[in-house]
Amino acid sequence: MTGRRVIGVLGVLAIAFGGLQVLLNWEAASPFGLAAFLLAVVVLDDLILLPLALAVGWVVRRALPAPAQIPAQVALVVLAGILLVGVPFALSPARNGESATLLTEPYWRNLGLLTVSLALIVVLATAVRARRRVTSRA
Amino acid sequence: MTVTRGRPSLPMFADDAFPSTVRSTWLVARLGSALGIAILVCFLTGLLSHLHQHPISWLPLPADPVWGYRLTQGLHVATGLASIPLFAVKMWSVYPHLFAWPPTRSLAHAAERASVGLLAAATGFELITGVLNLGHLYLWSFLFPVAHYAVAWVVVGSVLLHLAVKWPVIVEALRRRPPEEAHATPVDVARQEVISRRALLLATAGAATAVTVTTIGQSLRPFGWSGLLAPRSPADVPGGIPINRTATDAGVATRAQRGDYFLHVAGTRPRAFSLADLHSLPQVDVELPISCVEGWSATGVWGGVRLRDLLDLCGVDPAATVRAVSLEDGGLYAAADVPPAFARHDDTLLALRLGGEVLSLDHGYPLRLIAPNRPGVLQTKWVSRVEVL
Repeated sequence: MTGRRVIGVLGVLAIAFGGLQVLLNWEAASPFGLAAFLLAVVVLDDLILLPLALAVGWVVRRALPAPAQIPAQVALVVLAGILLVGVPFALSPARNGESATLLTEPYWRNLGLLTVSLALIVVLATAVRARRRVTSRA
Repeated sequence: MTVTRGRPSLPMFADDAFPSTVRSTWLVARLGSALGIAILVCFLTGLLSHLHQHPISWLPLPADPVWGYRLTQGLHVATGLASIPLFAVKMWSVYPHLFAWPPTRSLAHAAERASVGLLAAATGFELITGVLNLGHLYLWSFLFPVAHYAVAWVVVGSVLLHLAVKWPVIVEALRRRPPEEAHATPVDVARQEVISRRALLLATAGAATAVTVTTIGQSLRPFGWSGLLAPRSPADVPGGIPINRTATDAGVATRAQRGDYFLHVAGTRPRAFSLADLHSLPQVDVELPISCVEGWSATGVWGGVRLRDLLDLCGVDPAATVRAVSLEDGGLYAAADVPPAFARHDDTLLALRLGGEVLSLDHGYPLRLIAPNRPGVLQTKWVSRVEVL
């Protein structure tokens, strides 16, 4: 228990140190802007992205045939990770900036390629699983 | 016993709102462990980067190995990016707790929930601002390095607090075998297949791997071919070195190309060097990586004058920290301090050339600093003065 208390106290001290950094750099840290962004993160995560993920999962379970469901769920987890990283790059106005080396990839095309690749893998895995089902029934 | 008094009638507060049995402490503990390790890597490598940019006199950083910062900052960004799917799945796995009723049972419970909320918000903040910063998508009013550093301490602190509160639960969950899987509802069994916990863990690992493979090319050239989502690519630019800030962005394009350039070096024998003077001094070629705080890095062959030679010519104390000052009119990176370990290093140059060619304007023409094992933002471009601190 003592060890846990020490860890807890260290945690509180670290949080306080982070808060102190904000206070000591008031102008640069823009505390109100920072707090607003923290709140925006919570709203984005809890009220937009997670409900969206649940809705997509609900559709997958009802719209796809049984052998396709697990491959689709796995692919969607991978796709979600890729989109969360790739979409901000695709949307950035810095793509058309002065630097010839910043954000040079055709992100929308590449996201499309990755999505199609994952869809093909899902189709392939579904076919294999459907075939196995038929074989095991026989 | 389920407490229903005062519970909102919204569907997410219902007992059966989240029927998936994939969510469990078994899963959450494993996702949390992986995320905890990733956070630790990001924090330590980020702290090192902060110390490079805000040196502490009693904790001097070494200039060797020359590839040190390339490794640590590449790891920082790659781990941060790979953590995004980990964090997303972790949030999904604990989402029902958000709607637990009653919201608090005691002061201790309220504090625990508040600490978890802080952990989630702060971690999300770090990952989102990190990825947006890579994309130069500044959707905020704060200065990114200051806020990212401050909130990093909040993340680590709330992880420690979370560990202190949940330690027995975590240990027990990590020791336990996975519980029996079950389908969402009995009615659905015939036509639904639910992903297993192990499959979800593998899918999450797959997502982290996919993110890494499609972005790591900006740090590791052998993976350039797979960098479909890399924010930087080995582009067809002079010397093969990416450019973060152009001369036009920095407002020095005209000044840097004027014919009246002089480098002013302070010391007991201060001196002004014309470009011809600099070219007449002993020239050295070194192969050094330039590594950005944004994770990308690339190796170039830099040619120019050793900083040490210039400092010796001007009678600068070997133990002195010097400051390289740019032609820029102020700004965060218009000057960089060079501690003695770096200023006196064999490979630290005031570079006139890159890849055998005269420096391009955007790479810092007429003169730039290049030193081993430090962030690219400290490799001052368009150097016009060297001051002694």
